[in-house]
Amino acid sequence: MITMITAQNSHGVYKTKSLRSAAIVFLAILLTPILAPAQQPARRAAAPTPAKLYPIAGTVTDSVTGELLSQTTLTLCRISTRDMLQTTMTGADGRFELAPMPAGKYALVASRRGYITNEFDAHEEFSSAIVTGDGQDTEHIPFRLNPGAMIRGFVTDDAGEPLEGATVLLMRRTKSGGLGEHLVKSIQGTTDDTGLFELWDLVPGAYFLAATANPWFATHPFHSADEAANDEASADEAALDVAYPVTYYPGTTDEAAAAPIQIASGDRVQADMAMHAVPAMHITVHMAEANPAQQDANLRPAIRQTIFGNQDFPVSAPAQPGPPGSDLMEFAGIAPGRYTVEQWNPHRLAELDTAQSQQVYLSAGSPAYSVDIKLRMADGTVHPTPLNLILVSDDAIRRQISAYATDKSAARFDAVPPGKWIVLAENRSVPLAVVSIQTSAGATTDGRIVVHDSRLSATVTLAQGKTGIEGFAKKNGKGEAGVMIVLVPKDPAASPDLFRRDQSDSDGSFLLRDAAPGEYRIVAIEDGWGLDWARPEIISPYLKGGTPVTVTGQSGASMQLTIPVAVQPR
Amino acid sequence: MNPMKTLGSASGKRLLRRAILATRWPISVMCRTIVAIGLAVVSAQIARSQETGNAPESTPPSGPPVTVRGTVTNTATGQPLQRALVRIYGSPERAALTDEEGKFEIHGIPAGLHTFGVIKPGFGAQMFLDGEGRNSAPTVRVASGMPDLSLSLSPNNAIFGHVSLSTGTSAQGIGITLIRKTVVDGRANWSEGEHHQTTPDGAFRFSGLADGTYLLLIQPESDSGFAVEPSCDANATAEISGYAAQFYPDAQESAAAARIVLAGGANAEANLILHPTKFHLVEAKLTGTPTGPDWEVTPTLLDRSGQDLDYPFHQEKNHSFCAYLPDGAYTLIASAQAEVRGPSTPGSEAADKILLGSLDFSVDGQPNRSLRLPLALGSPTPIHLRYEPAPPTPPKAAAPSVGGADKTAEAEDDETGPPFSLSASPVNSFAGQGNTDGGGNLDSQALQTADGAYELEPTSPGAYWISASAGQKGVCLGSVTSAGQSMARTPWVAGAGGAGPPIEAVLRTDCAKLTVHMPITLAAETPGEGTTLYVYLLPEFDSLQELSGTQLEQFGDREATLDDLTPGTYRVFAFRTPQSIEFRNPDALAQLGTGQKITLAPRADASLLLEGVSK
Repeated sequence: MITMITAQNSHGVYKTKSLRSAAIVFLAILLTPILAPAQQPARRAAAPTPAKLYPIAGTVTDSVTGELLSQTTLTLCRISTRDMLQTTMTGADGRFELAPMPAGKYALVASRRGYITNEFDAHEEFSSAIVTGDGQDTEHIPFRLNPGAMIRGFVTDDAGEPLEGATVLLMRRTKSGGLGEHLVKSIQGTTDDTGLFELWDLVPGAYFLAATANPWFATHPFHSADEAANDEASADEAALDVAYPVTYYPGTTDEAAAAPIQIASGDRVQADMAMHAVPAMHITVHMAEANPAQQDANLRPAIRQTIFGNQDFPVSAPAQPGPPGSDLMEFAGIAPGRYTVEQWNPHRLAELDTAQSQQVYLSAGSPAYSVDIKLRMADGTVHPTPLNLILVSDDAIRRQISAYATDKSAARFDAVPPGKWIVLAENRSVPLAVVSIQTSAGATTDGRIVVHDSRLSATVTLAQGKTGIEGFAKKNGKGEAGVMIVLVPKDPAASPDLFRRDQSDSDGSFLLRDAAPGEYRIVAIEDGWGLDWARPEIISPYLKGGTPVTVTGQSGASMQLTIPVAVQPR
Repeated sequence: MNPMKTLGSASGKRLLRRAILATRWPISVMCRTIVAIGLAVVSAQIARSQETGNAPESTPPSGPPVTVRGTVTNTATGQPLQRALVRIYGSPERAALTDEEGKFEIHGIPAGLHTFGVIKPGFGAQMFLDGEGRNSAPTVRVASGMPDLSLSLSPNNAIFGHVSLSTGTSAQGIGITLIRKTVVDGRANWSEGEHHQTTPDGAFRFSGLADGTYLLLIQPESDSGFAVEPSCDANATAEISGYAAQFYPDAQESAAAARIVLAGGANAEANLILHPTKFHLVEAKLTGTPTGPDWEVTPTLLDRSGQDLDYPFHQEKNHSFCAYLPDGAYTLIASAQAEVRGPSTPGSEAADKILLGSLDFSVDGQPNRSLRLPLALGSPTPIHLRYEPAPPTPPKAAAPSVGGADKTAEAEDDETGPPFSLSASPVNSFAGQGNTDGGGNLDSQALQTADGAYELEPTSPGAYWISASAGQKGVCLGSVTSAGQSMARTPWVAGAGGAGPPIEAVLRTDCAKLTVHMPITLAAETPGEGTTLYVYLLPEFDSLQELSGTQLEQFGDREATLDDLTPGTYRVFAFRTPQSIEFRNPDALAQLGTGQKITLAPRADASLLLEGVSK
């Protein structure tokens, strides 16, 4: 079952206040109930005999200690629409019992204070649906709930005083998304008046921590030529013209020296950090000439800090334009580090490493280039909308830039740094297959483009996966729940866009959605969730024991596998 | 937030500011003329500094550079404060950190007037004041041979603690709201402040708090996502276990809540244990909803003190509301507006209509699915305005002409709001203006109809305090009565449909004027820190007018004129810091002392030399 979370209109529940935490939002989306549609009575009328009902019951335990958990809320949802069907709570013996339901597939969610709210047997974005019916034991559901982990720490300044208002960024190593192992943003926090930050509801994994802050006392003067400050006054100023470089746990300003923090379920990890102010730098930005007819002609360039490839950290540095008639903008109060500088009119992007230069050229010789993409569908149809194109850097960082296709079947990336980029396309979170890419250098089928030192035009041919592949994962002839199912394309290295995954439901059934035409093997790996499955050398040992399947344009919306997929040990 | 709400509170600020402006202009203009004769270039600088409001207006910095020295102390302990930043605003903008002994030295400051500021994290929390809050930003006359400056900062307070659950379960995600005592329109009021959710360890912390009185409201089941969702299904569970909302430490009602009084950098620890209790399914069906358009219903559940409770609701399309509630006494308020579909036609009947209703009920050990909340069509309450003495030609009421005519005279006052304003605020101090979060704000405003008459918009049934402002130049507020009662003493009561007895307001055209002068002792132009006085006029008679006040500067405007004052007797107080005065609370007024008494006759143009500074 795939739990791609899609937003739905909310009817039925009225809450007096807005939702307050990410965990709640997660739950709310999961549980968004839909009013019973009008056709339901009609459907009932068509089936005059009352449906046979099956019990749904089980126990909730702590996944670490095995302790039975009382006071746990369980919510049963319709699998197709995510309608909330019923809720109940476990008793002192950790046992829950829901009202019996007709045969079908249901999503079961458990939530308890101190634990991570989740669907049954959840792994990454997947979980196992509860399947009721003849021969299915749904009376002894062993729901193991993961206690949330927490990282907390104190951030202090040079004087050993608490650093209030520091932004703390937590990155997590992930293998999801078919892009190999890379870092994704986990959560972001702010230190309080005691310098404390606390980040919780963390899932097990390897984390990296970084802190950014501005010295609260810093002042960043600009000096014009006619302003002659005396020596004592300029010494006063220099003492306060300081900045904090990004500081990485355990206490380095070198991103490469950042140490991972290993977190297991229920862990409490203390991670204190000290930040040290250094003399701030001035950066001179040479801007490209703006088109005065456009409204945003006077927007000043934005500077963003780059932390673990994440560029979401705007720097609020004071700026001052250069002499009238010049195309200069001077920024003060900049800490040594890596930045992205962005101008809006015309749209320009440049990367800056202050160790190498304090000058940024958006005007000429910009280190980023535009990429124009024309889109066509392999079967000659019109591409689905909205169509989101994503460029992913073909390196360990997996930086992502995205752009939406216009109604003229084109997409433009204004400023792409040089390098090799994987091209991905998706429609409402469903990936499309990238069949081929045509540039002036020729056609490729490896789904990548290379940006050198000039603008690039490419025609990208896409195919939409329309086939759902349904089957059973079986071990010793019995359906096996919670197994990782991977649809592996024939050339895994060249086609990250063709991979599909699912987790088997309680009866061993699975559904690989939106498979594109191609030749594949389906593998079922028991406890395979820790694998870096998208890497060819990792997945290839399992291919021999997999089930071959060919999807063609004629396969239609649904393919039923007649033979079960054998579950392989990890 | 209700957009109408801002009008009422903003007009008070405007009033105060206008009183200051009215007197500042002549002085500033005079100064500018004098300077312009000597040095034309400098006058341009003054104009600029007035725009930005950074530097004092009277004289620009000039003369040879001076080194400014001084000490920063902690007002609570009297101890020197290290690593505090002393800043000089304006040009040149300069700053220095204090050393281990709290001493600072800033070099090369031109002689003249400068605005100083002191900053340190954990110090200098903003007070919440009736008028305009102001951080300590003293004006200093810098001159060679000036004395060392003595600056100080007040430490902030904090409330922190741990919530634990008697079952031993993690107390994660418990909602805690800080409620702060404020003064709104001269009366004590409880306003919702920050809201936190406890960490997985059950910890919470509110910091950066100014001295004052606080309450903590604990709402374990508010949107926490851990509760069983309410449902109106016929077979929905009738009873669940949960944690009831309570005030720290274990009060069901706000009246019994512990007052947490903070001062001088206090770190108050507030730990509490929550015990599970039974929640019962309660269903209320709205009645009286006319057929026709779809009605969008907003329900609000209050406790008997008027505090908005945050229990999740389930709403059915047939206007049933279901919630799980613990035992207690509640008020459910609902208002309904016609849902506008497609292009709305302004003034169309359905679009303007509002339905109102409220229901008091109790939960007592069992579910109750038979509550009925009757809604009634909201109707406004007429407000009759009368001028005394009647002017030869009644002052123009239309707002645009006021703004247009005044534009040149008061360029900085962009006020174009209604000339007369009146608002009703619940007598219940938890349901008033401060509570913009959620549905707790029940204030209502006077609106002007197309034919120029005023009416008070319908509001939820209940008792309200009325406040009003004359608004126009040359007009001041006289008595405001309803059903023969002075609205300064008796609350106004709205019944079903949100209307109450008509309100009669007298606008007087024989207003008085008062010029207040700084005490002689503070009139010197000595080097060093200057004094700012905050002057307040408290009427000795029934008045619904906002508090009149002004500000005097030792190195600036040493006199100020307050005009459009209602004739009568006033007590005048001057303070060194801005105050929030419960001027509608006789007990609080008695504690203020006598002040300086002055009686203003109709059309008087009086003058008052302040005798001293109140404590």
